[in-house]
Amino acid sequence: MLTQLLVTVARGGTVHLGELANELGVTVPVVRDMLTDLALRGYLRPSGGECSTKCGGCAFATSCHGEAATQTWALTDKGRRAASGAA
Amino acid sequence: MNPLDPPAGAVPSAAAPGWTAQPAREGALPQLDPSAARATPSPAPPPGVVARVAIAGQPNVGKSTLFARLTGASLETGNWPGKTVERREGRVTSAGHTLAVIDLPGTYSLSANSEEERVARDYVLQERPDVLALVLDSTALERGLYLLAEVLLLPVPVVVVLNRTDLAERAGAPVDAAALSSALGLPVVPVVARTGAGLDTLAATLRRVATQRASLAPVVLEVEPETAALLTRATTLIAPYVPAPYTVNWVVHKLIEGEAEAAALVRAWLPAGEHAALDALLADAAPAAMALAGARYAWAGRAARSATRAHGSGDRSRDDSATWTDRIDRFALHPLAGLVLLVALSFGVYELTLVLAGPLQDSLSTAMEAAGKWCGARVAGLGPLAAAFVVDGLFGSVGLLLTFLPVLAVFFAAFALLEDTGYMARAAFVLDRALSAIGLRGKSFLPMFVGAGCNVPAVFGARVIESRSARLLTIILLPLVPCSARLIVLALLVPAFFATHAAGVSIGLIALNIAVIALLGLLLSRTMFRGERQSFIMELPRYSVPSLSAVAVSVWTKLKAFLRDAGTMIVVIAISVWALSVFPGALHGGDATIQDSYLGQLGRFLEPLGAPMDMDWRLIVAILTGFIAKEVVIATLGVLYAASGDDAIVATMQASISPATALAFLVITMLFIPCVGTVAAMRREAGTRWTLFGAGLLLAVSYVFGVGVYRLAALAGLDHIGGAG
Repeated sequence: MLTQLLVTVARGGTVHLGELANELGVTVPVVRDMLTDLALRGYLRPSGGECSTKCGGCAFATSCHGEAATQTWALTDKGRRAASGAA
Repeated sequence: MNPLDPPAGAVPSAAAPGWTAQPAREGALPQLDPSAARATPSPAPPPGVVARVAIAGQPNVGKSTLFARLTGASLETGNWPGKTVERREGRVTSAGHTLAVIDLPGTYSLSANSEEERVARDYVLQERPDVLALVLDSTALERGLYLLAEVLLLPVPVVVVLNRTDLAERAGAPVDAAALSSALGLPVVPVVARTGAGLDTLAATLRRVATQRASLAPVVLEVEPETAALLTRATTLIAPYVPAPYTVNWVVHKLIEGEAEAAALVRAWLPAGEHAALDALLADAAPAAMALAGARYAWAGRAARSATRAHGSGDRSRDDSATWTDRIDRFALHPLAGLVLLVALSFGVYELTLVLAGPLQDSLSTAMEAAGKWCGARVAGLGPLAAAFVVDGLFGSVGLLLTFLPVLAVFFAAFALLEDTGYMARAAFVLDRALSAIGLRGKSFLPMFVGAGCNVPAVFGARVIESRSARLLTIILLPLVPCSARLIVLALLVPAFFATHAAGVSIGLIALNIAVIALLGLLLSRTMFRGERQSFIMELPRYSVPSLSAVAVSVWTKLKAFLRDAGTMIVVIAISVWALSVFPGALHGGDATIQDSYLGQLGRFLEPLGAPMDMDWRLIVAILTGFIAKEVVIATLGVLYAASGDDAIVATMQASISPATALAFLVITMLFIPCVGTVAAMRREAGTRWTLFGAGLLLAVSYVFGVGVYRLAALAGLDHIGGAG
């Protein structure tokens, strides 16, 4: 199931947690856990999010609270190998 | 049957073997029974206590409340030996028997990722409590069950405590404790820790399980044959060497999962001759680790479904019961309807900006002009240059800055409102798929749309894009979105030159901008801003009624930040350009005319550049002054063509500029750097280097398209004055 999620992430593009949950047959919080799990295992890394480091002087700082709810994930080398192996 | 009692079939033999591969229930997947060696005896409980109970669970499942309710006044706190993690102990009495209860730190898993996880797992492994009560949140059952799958690897009987059953009930997704107990093969006790409901039953169940030591349940993980084979190999290799209190099953799982601690332990236990076999085993372990974790998620999912299906709640894509959010999302996330809604809302924001900010902008301009004149009159005694500085330089630039404020205020308010309702994430999601073709992210959608009003907030809005490459690309392309100032220039000049085709030419010019955005987007996203392929995984918040006070605070904070960040630079550059347009003439005390100014000289210097479009220096200077603000182009043309009033400018220009040149001029005006405010915003967001790159790119693109359009128009015979008729 984790491998399936990794392959989905490797496809790139935009997807919302509800879609992933339906695809995998689990609940939204579990998808969240699984993504964190994959990151802990070194297959994924959260990317971007420079916003948070520059927030202080930003006119859009308060809009950035979406940061916590929206995450961009990129595959690590390990993740890329695992995903291409599984696909 | 009392739902609090475990079903008869749920208490398997205490003599459960280590995990064994069995014929799969579904397909050819073998089943693993990792309920290892739980029959190992525990150390004796303290005097006067019949058994020791450990309470475990994920953080925020109500574990602490449950512990406090259960143990009451007997609660004692301290620290785990050698750790900064708090240790809480207490006692609970059930039917005359006293149980010692220890509260383990909240953990998401038992993978030694944190001190808390290590404390919890080491306690169970080393101290062997008589029973472990695992607290699950009924509103997030599946998450807790994943932890249960890990806990069941440990050598301890488990009682599942189903907390917050009232909240799950209220949310319309009650958990059937009896069905869950059946599915897990474990006692399941529903409680509401907050009110204390169910705690007596819990204490009785804990006492019974602890004293009978009869609650063992096999977790059936369905894994592929390769993973099962690897588990068998690992077990065969290490089983003879695993000392107490560790269990073979737990060590095998941790080894396969690549846990460094487990690998180090096994290496120390194994004779040197077996190390090569261990290394070979670990080299193949990564896919199996994923498979095991995946199998645990799948197991947790199956168990959760079996406990909730009984109540007919089938949709798993949500956090809670069917809500308005689901209903609205069916429309808002629809590939087509969602886009239509987005376009309608964006058009609404654009209209709102024009309707609300337009008049404010005009009155602010007028007020600043009047204030400037009044102050100019006060300083007139200091000479014409001082007066001109006050009126045109100081008040002109500050006035320009202030005219941005209404647009920004309306935009920020609309943005904050949409954000607060939870719609923004949907809009970004829907648009992302459309924009990804040209390397832009959906999050940049509103800035792009509102960019039609003003590029300055649009550039700031690009801040919400996480990927640096997508953000830079968006910032560089944003100035090409026709802003309202450029539309004003179009509205004035196009009908004058192309009386019969004004609408067509205007639409053509706007379409050209959009085409250039798409073209450059495609080009740059496939070359410079390629970036890595990323998956944009969004959590869509629930819709909610926006808070007006929060919106007001947000608008105020952002306006202040804008004035602080971009404001200074706008004023400095605007005053500089003003100075260039009056010096050196003003130094000689005469009337400062733009023709003789440094700006005029620059225009004449650049005149050869205009030659391919038959463009004289006055048009070049007009384009350059458009850098202050696009509307300034009209004012500059008025000064240079020595006329007053917009209509008169047109008449004079018609007599001296061919339609082909006018077209080239309009194309350049539309594609060139929008204004100093946008540049300031770009510099703030992307840095000087990228701003220079963006400006250079716009310069090159506008020039190339200007010349190109002129050539095409010349081919159509429009390069003669009056050619457009």
